[in-house]
Amino acid sequence: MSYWTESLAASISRVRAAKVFVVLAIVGTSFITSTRLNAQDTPEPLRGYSKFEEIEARLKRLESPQATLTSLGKTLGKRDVWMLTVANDPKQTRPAILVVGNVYAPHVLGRELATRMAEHIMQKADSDESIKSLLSQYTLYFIPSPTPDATEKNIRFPVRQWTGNLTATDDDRDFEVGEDGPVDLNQDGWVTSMRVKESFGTHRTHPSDPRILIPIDPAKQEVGQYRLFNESKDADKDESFGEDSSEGVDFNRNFTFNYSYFGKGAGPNQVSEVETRAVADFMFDHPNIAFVLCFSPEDNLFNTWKGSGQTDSGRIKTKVLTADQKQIDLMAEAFRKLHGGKSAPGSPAGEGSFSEFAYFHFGRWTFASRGWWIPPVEKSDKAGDKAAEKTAEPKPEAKPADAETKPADTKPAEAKPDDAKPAEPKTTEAKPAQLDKDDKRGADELAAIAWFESQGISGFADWQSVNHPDFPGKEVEVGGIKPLFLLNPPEKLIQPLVQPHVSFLAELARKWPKLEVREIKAVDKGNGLIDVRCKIVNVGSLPSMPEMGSVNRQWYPTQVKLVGADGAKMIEGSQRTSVGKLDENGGSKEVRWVFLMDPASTASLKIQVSSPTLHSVEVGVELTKP
Amino acid sequence: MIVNHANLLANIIRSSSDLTAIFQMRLHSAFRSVLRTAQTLAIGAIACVSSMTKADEPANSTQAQPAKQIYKAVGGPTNPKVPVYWNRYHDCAEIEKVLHDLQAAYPDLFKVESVGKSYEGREIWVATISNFKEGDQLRKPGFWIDAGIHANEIQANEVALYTAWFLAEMHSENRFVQELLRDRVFYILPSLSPDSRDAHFYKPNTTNSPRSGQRPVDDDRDGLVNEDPANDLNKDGHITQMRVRDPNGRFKAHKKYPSLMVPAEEDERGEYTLLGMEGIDADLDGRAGDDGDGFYDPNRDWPWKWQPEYVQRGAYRYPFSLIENRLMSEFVKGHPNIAGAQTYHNTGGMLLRGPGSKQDAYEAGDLRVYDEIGKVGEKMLPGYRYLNVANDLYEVWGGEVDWLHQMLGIFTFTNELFIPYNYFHSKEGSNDQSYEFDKLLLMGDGLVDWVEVDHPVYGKVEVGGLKKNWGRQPPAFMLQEECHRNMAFTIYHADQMPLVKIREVTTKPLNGGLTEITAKVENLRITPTHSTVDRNQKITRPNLVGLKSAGLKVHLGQYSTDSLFRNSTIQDRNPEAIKLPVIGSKSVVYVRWIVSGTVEGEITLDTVKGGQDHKRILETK
Repeated sequence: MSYWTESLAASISRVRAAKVFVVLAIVGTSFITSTRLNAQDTPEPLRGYSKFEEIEARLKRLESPQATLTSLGKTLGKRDVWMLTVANDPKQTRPAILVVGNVYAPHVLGRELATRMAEHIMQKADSDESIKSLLSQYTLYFIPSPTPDATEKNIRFPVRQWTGNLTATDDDRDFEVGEDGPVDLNQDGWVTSMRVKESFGTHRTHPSDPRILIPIDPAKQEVGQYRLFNESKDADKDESFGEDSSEGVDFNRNFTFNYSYFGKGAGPNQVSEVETRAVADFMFDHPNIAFVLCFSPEDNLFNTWKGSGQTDSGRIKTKVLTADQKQIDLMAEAFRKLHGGKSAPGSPAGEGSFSEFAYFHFGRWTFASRGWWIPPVEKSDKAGDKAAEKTAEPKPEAKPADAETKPADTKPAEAKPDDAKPAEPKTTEAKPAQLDKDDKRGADELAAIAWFESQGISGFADWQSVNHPDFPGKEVEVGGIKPLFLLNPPEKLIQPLVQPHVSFLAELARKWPKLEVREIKAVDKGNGLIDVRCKIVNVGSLPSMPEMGSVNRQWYPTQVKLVGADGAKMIEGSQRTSVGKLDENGGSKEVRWVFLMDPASTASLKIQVSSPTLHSVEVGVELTKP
Repeated sequence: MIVNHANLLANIIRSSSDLTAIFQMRLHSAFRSVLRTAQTLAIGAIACVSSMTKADEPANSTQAQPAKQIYKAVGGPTNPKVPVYWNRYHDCAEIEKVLHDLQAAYPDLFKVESVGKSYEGREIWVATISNFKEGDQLRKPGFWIDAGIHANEIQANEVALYTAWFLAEMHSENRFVQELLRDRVFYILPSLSPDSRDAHFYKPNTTNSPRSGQRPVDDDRDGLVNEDPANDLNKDGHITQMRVRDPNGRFKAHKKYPSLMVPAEEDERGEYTLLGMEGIDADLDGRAGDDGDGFYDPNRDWPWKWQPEYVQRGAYRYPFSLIENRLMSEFVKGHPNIAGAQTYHNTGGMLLRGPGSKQDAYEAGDLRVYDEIGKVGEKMLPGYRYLNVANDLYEVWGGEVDWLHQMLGIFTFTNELFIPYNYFHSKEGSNDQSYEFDKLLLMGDGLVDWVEVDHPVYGKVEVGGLKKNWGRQPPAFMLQEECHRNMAFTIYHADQMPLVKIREVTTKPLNGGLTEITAKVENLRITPTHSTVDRNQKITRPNLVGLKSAGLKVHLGQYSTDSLFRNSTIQDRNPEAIKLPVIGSKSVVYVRWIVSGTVEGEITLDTVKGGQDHKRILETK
């Protein structure tokens, strides 16, 4: 069954099935769909990666007394959103870490990494001390493939980056669905870019490498040579190219924080999809989750979130709170040491992204890891596997990406359709031979091509002439950086990335806030009048809750209960009380109870401290005479 | 005489049925079925008495009165087939029965369907009302009505149910209703939070509860769910106030209405300390009644400008995280013909429109439509004011009204039912007005007299105050008026949905064998075919004006709002079907084609929210 026929099952109110059939007839023919992919017909960037069925099988193989597999829901494409619980006793609810795989569908690496992390942990559960300790105290939840329908669209021919699921969408809001998507014009198996030679175009070639197109800079009096489009036809004759493939709803744009209303891929509303609902509900139903680690191009480990005292005060929080930023920076620094990557690309701004939802609206310590990016190629150090191994190796001395790192487009191969009329240049001076040093146009593409060459990867589709019906008599070429290569490393580079992420979980476990009851002063003042005081102290190296979790009230406050005092007449305090945020490394709060009760039954008095995200503590109370 | 006797008897049974209703609220569910049977018998008895010749037929297939007994009161159905008392309230089962009785009585006008089940498994009913013998229901302009999203606001559901009943029962005898149901379709969802409606009826509550649904929520986030609800200490079905005598208290009894607690003056001693709502601190955390049913607010669960709970109190997990709202949203999105909507609430006598957030704004063009309709509403509903949520009431993020307008482009009002103005038809209200009204017109029926009870924590306390069925809801004798006036406004709003016509088609020969065909299309009503937000966000497809002719070749297609085409738009692609972005408020658009060939055929006008029309092309010589 092809994805197109699956998408028929999708419902959208404004769509009539008949229209979808027409679309099928137009677009369906240009797709070579394959039902069962083996290694050979997996698109090259993902060769060796597991398809959904294999991921499913791998997760099922992990099932054991320490790992249970649960389906959180079934997508439109009838795929399960699998969740693996790993703990010494998965049935017990304990403080937990949630790991979510590829929230951005073309970033298939995320699914591989989450699955391999679970495999690695299960394999080393008995032999590795840090893993043993992790599993003896905490629960790990893995959702390796939260949006499987969308991910699977990326593993087929012709290759392009698909972000959305199987929900039918009208991407250009013209009341027709999927009538004009990108197509593989030259039948080379890759949907890339298309350039049309125009004397007043919007783009020009890069002086160092004429394969790369860069936008012209009007301030530099540059003259355009090309217009740049998606590889597409104007199937619906609306003068936009490849603007409606009925892309589907993007998991990573469907969450509630900074949601893009009516935005492409955002869905009809927040959390509209089966899979987003399944994952969000799972999270809200599990207040024991303290940390969330997800894989996505939005990254806050190398590009840490920035807030300020000023942004803290607004009613609606839109930037990381400064108190949390301090902690996240420390944890991110630990991660960067473990990971060892350098020159990380910038992080795209999220709109309805999963990671920002997890922090701002679910209120948990949240980390988003890109996992991998194309490493810089040293001029002296060229070619071969040697370089690949070297760049993948953890380098403890590696410096974090600095603030100057500019955000990189996650998919430059798919340029946005550009219909703007080119600006009339004032003069027609000859273009400079080289770009200025600080002019970064095309730098990412240059670096990518250099790395492809050093690795012997054919990651660039050379420009190839096509006859284009919409541009009669014009020179039209298709080519560019091939999809998926920028986000997903060759398979052999994945395994070295597993250990750093697993070690990071162990690192989080070491930092976990930890409560103790100290300085208990329990006095029997005679005739059954009892006075009990104690301090609840956080001896962990993180505050007892993130500030955001305290603000949005999604992190349950710590409960302090005086056990064994049922029936007592409380004079001061209540049997149950809650304490708010306790600072790291010794933050404390005093609790006091004064009450009257039968002196005979005071022997069983206990103080119980609990929170779903922290380990419970219970201490007995021994009364002294004043 | 016979008439008088019959009416007298009917009145006696009717009032006993009112008593039944009141008792019903006070009693526990174990007795409900017994009472339900008694009530059904009472209704049956009325039918028996008033239509003696049809005594053996079931109540719902008979009419209320035999024809010769009728003296028709204008503005209401002469002799309804489905008798309903509009001076009392209906629980979910009764609403369900009225809807199905109407469907059985008027199969050509009335259809009931469930859009799904609520959290506790109650069906969520939607009635579709239109003349099914005329036209395609999905292509008629549709009007959406829902009610009772806040379940404690119980008269909202009655207004919605009354509207459904009125339209069906009046159809045979009123020309306006006939035209309305010929051209329009109504979708009425009378109970959007049915679980909590029954909870309000059959569990101890206040006039303010439950506003939430019945999903268990750990309100105080202590790991225990619904462990500390309000408690009906004196077991009367009402959650009232607790007070304790205290010579140093800051409250005292009102001089004229001793049940009313008022603050003591600065320089005088009080008599009581108020202890809040009836409740015990079941979870021993020092806060009585801090975790009862629900917590979330179903009207903070809608996608537009949604914000989480820390910004917008009452928001649940994410938009449409409440199943009842999600089911409703699917029905509404599945009916793009809906052009107007009303969502009933109480209280305060307001005709509200969005936006709910001060950071949001409605388009100026859309506000003009609201203003025009709202102004008429203020006249129809004495004491009511036409207001805007964010600026005149309070800020709401994620409210239903904003979703309907800003994301679907539907002109939507929320009527906040009931207003203190009703007490004495005076705008000068004071706090104790309701007590005076209760004393003079309700004979004290609205209050629970203070009574001493044992409180497990506080010892002896007194409980008393406003009953749950008084405060926000109209008393029996005002309920039907509230239903009718609000319905009338909503029908006025529905009548102002777009209604399009092709006014005329003219032809004019040009040189070179060409002919100019001009169609004048008109919207007869205040609401445009597309709200401005609809056009901006591309929510509804444009209106299509088609030229259907076998013998014509179209050389050019264009349209203009000016009859002289001084400012026109030419459509190059597919000029046989001209796309009109909007036909405005009571406006005309001219569509013109330059054609060659045999001048014959038909002009079609097809809109999503304003209906359709067609007219033949007749060649003018």
